[in-house]
Amino acid sequence: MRSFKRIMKIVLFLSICLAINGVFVYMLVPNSFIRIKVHNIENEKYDDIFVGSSHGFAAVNPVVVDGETGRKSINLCYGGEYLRDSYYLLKDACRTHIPERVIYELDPGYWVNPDTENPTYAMAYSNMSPSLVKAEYCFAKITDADFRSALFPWFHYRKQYGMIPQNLKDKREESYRNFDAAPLEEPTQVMSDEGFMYIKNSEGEKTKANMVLWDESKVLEEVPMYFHKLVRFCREKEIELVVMTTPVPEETLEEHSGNYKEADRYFAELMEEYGIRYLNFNTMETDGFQRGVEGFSDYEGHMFGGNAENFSRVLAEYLR
Amino acid sequence: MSLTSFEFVIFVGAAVAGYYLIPKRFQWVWLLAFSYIYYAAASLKILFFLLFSTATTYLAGLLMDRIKEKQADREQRIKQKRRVVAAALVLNFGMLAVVKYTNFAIENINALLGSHLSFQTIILPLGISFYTFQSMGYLLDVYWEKVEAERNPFRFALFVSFFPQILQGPIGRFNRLAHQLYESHDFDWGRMERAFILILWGFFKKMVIADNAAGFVDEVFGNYGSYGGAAIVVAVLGYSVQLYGDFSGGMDVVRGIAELFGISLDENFRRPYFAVSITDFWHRWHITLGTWMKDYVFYPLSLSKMMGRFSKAAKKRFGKSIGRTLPICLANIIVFLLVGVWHGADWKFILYGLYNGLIIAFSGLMMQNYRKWKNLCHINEKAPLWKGFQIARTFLLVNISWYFDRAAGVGEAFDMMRITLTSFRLSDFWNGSLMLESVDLVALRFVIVGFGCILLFLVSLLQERGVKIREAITGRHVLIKYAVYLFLIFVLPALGQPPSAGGGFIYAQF
Repeated sequence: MRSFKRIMKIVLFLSICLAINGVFVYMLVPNSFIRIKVHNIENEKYDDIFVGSSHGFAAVNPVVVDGETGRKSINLCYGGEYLRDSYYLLKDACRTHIPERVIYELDPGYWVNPDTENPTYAMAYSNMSPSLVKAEYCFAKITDADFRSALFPWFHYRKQYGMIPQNLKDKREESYRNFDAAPLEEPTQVMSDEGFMYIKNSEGEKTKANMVLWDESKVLEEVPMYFHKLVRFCREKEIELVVMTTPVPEETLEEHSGNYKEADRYFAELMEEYGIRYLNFNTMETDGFQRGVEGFSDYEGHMFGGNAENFSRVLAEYLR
Repeated sequence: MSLTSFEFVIFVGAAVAGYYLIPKRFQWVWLLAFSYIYYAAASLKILFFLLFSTATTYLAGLLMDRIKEKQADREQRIKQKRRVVAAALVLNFGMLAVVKYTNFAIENINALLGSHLSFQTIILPLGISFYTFQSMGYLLDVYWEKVEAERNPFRFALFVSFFPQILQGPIGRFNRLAHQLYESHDFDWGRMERAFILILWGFFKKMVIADNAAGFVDEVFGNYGSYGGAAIVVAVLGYSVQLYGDFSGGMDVVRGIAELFGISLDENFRRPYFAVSITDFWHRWHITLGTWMKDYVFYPLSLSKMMGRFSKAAKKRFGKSIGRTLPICLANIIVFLLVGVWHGADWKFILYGLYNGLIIAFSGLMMQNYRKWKNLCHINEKAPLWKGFQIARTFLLVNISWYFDRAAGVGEAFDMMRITLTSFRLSDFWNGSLMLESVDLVALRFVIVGFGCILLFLVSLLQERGVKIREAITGRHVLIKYAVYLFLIFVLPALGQPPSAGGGFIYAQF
């Protein structure tokens, strides 16, 4: 009897903890494009899925690509999405429907720069519905994280208490419950329902910050491992895998030509080894979009929306 | 596996659950398995060092016991045992010296001789300083026949590798720790509750206090040339808070985890900033290192024939009083030089140790004079004002030592001291210049650290007065208990800094 009382007290205490945690999550965790992307892949059927980094997020407009290819695609790319995340997002998507093709947007910087805990670190995981894939993802990624990132999803938003009124307002809107992307519009960018981020043209000095240059000696152990897993998974599910690198401004290419040439050599060899089609738009002689920095929001490689739509048309030619 | 990782939480959960579910006679085996899994998870290569240390110490202990049993002649027995213990000490401390100090030696040889020896890439095995000291302490206890050698190699392996303490201590003693590891333990709700409080309190000190202070400290120490004396003083004070929060917080987490298994590890901190002298400080700070040095270096050194001869010569030269004190002073200086060396392969740590040793030695020499002066000035040693003065004086002396401990090097430490004295402006405290622009620093972080320090101070004050905090909490009404637990749980994500800001535990690098 005494043990039962004790256990009930513990259950009650844990319930209170969960409730408080839930309240903090509701108040502090804002609406996000990752939430919408994960919802879409779990509930819709796509022929093509784009996975990759923020370069892909800003460069690939699925509506434009689909207009040329006649297929249905979704842009699952986001800033901070490492191959490990892409792999599990794809696995999660395949629970509902197996796509015909996956296009992995390869940013060489993600192969040499370790993943760090930040607001997007666990976001894809948090928004996945419970499943074995989510459990696998948890052991693959979340267990490495600080226990606060794992157990308190609001941890990385703890300083943004000023956003609580806006968060509460957003979450009461129907657009939130319907997973609409419209409320996520900001002065500098708009996200479409298909996962494309349209960066609005702007004047002013462009940043060179956040640029991570290729260095083969710094290739992280786990990234090629997850690439291998991705290839194997696609083969098992008979999914065509295409790898592409979106263009960076030609000024950046010129300034760091050595790094980009080395990266191209490395990945061209790797893709040949795997027998995978590799589209490196930094080396391919294609036109139809602006290659100079005037077509980008920064020197790192995030395209303005208009330029991205032109690029998407060009990309579609290769994906017909 | 970092102590703050989710992986570690799952690991401990599995370890504790299994510990109480399996038959009691296998509990120690379970602990051994988890200890080796924990260490191997870091890297299989470094496992070699742990196994080497364990094997050599175990065999040396057995050999000495055998000599004790077989050798009737006392002198021969001591001689043979001495050879065994010397060999084991040389092997183990030699291994520690090689992995920790090779590049330091190369750097200094190059500087001294103008040579160009190249630096070596040497793996630094996790926790090597701690488990080497722990196992060598055991070996010396066997040598001095304070304990019997452990016959079971697996039990001995558990003593060396017990996972909560292997990375950053405390340095355990065989006669206090071993039997607890090998005994079976029943599940106890009360003990689990108290253990969780200690773990959460440890994380509070680390994540809320230490990690919030780290940003300012790292920025100023890393770019001290851009700051005035006031910023440097605040950074040094911040470091005193950061180091204490980090190290003692880590110890609380480690001790709390051990308590989950019913094992009581030695206390490593006892409110050090309430110390009334540097000697008292070292009785309260990193206690197990201090007592290790006292028992295995200071006493043997002070009672050695060499010191005896030195004492005789000193009495002849300086008189009985000083002659009696000088050997103790010398022994203290040597001990603290070793403490400095233990901290790391850098001249700044040696200076740090020397600084502490010289103060303690000087205090020892001046003891009689201090007594005379206090009597002359009619100072009431029991008066709170006098105690307050002693605490403040000790705090100042300790903070001076942090210049050496935290600065990048000896030159940087002296540079920072010079700036502190020559560019100190009181107005910097209120004109906003401490709100550094180069770091994501807002007044809130200062407020959080301040709040944490006030809470820490209140808890420490109660403990200093003999209040058992955890028992006091668990004995309260359930609503009060729950409020405390909820506070400790939610304050960690609410006010703590993310892992990249504060980094891992500072002493885990030893």
